[in-house]
Order: sequence, then structure tokens, then C-alpha cells
Amino acid sequence: MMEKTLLLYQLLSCFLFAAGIFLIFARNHLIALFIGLELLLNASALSFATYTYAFSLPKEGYLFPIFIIVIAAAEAAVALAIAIRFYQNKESSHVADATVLQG
Amino acid sequence: MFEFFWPLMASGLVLAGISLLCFSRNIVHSCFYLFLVFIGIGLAYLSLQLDFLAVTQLVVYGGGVVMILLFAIMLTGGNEQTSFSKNILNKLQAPLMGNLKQTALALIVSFIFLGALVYFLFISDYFSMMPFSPQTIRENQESLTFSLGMILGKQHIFIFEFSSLLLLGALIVAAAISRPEKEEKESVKIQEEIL
Repeated sequence: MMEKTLLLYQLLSCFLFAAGIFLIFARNHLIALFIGLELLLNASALSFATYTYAFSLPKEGYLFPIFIIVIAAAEAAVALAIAIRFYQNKESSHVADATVLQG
Repeated sequence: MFEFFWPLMASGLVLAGISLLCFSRNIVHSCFYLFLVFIGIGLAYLSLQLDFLAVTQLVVYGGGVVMILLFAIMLTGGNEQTSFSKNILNKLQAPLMGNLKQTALALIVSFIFLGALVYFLFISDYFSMMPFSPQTIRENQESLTFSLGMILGKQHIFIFEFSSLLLLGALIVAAAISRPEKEEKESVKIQEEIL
């Protein structure tokens, strides 16, 4: 019973990861790319928690999802500040317009 | 049968959320579908009795990140750039949400990733390595919040403090980056108009 649940969650994290990759490749909007990144981080956090639970590993395994969430929160603040600043300068949210650092 | 209810509901929510996210052409709708995904993952944690992770997921992601995303969308022109009509052809041509060529490429790449992940999951002989029966883990499991608090407070205090510094730094950097420029010329013009 529990094995099936854990396999289901592993498959779910695989699907989440693939959806994140899809969003990153398919979208041109800065914030849509950011949504894809969030999905990637969530997939890895779910996988960490599921493996730690499945193999009854030490509780330190649950620290990884928590730190992933912390880093995602910090990343959200900085990335969206950059997106807002970019829009103030360029009047656009298209990734192709971010060419200032291009050589 | 009832034991499968919460895992199936969590998986259904997440799968519905990610499929809607992938087909949505509207950035505001995408945010709400992302919220659906976060709730699903929170339910998944809850069904594994990981209460602290579930609450953190719902509060930080569901409450914080989605709200910041919505504010960022509102401050960067909102729906104007991704608006679409009901005509299917126009829907496919919302420029910021990708065109057909990009979507095809993304589908190919994401299917390659999905295939690789599922392949490695099944060849890793996942089930034979599981050392427990589900009952034993439920009896042995003390409160996750308590044990995580003990681990963080005693053995990993440095990384805990470091993460708080990281958050503080991110907050200051975000405030510094998004601070509006001083538009001195405009203020001078306004003063001249007033005079």
C-alpha cells in the first residue's frame, strides 16, 4: 500500500520536473520562466521527502525540502525585483529584450 | 481504499495544475494554477504525515510566493502583454507565452527528461530496497516538528543561522534593486510648472 503511494509520489515529482522544463523552454515571459523554476524546485523537494520517508533515513533528510523552500523564497524576492526593474527600464517582460549584458 | 484517497487527491490536484499550467496562455491564470499545484504538494506531504513540511509548503509557497508573483505581474503590465482573443489562432500567437515552434521543442525536451527520470526510477530497483513495513514507520514516527526543531537547534544551528542571513540579504537586495529611480528632471519640471 505504502509502496504504491511512494511510487506515485516519485512519478509525480518526475512529472513536475518535466512540466518545469517544458515551461522554461516554451515561455518567453520572465515570470512564466520563474514559475517553471518553482516547479523544478518543488519536484526536487518532493523527491527528497519521499525518499527519506521510504527508506526511513535520518530526519536530516527532511531538512533538504525546508532549505529548498527557504532558497526558493529568497530567489522569489530577488528574481521578481529584477523582473520589476527590467520592466521599468525596457517596458517589456520578454526574455529576448534582456540584451544589455550580451557581448 | 480510504488510505488511497489523500494520495490520489494530491496527485490529481498536482497533475491537473501542471497540465493547466502547460496549456495556459495567460500569465495571471498560470499563477492560480501554480497555487493549485502547491496545494496538491502540501496534501502529498500531509498524507505522508510530514505535517511541518505541509504547513511550510502552504504558508511559504501558497501564501508568499504566489502573492509576490501576482504583485510582480500587476507591476509589470499585468495582462496587457499576454492578452488573447477567443480566436484559436490568436490564442496560439500570444507572443510572450511562446509560439508553436518553441512549444514543440519544449515538448520534445520535457518528454526526454520525463522518459529518463521514469527509466532511472524503475531500473534503480526501488521497491526491493525498502526496508520497512508501513506499520513500523508509523509507530516509530514522533512529531516531525519536534524532531526537526531539535536537529536544527542542536546539530545544524550554523546552517539555520546562515539561512536567516541569506533571507535577510535577499530582502535587502530585492529592496535595493526594485527601488524607483530618482527622477530629478521630472520633479524640476513639476516645480517649474507650479511656479
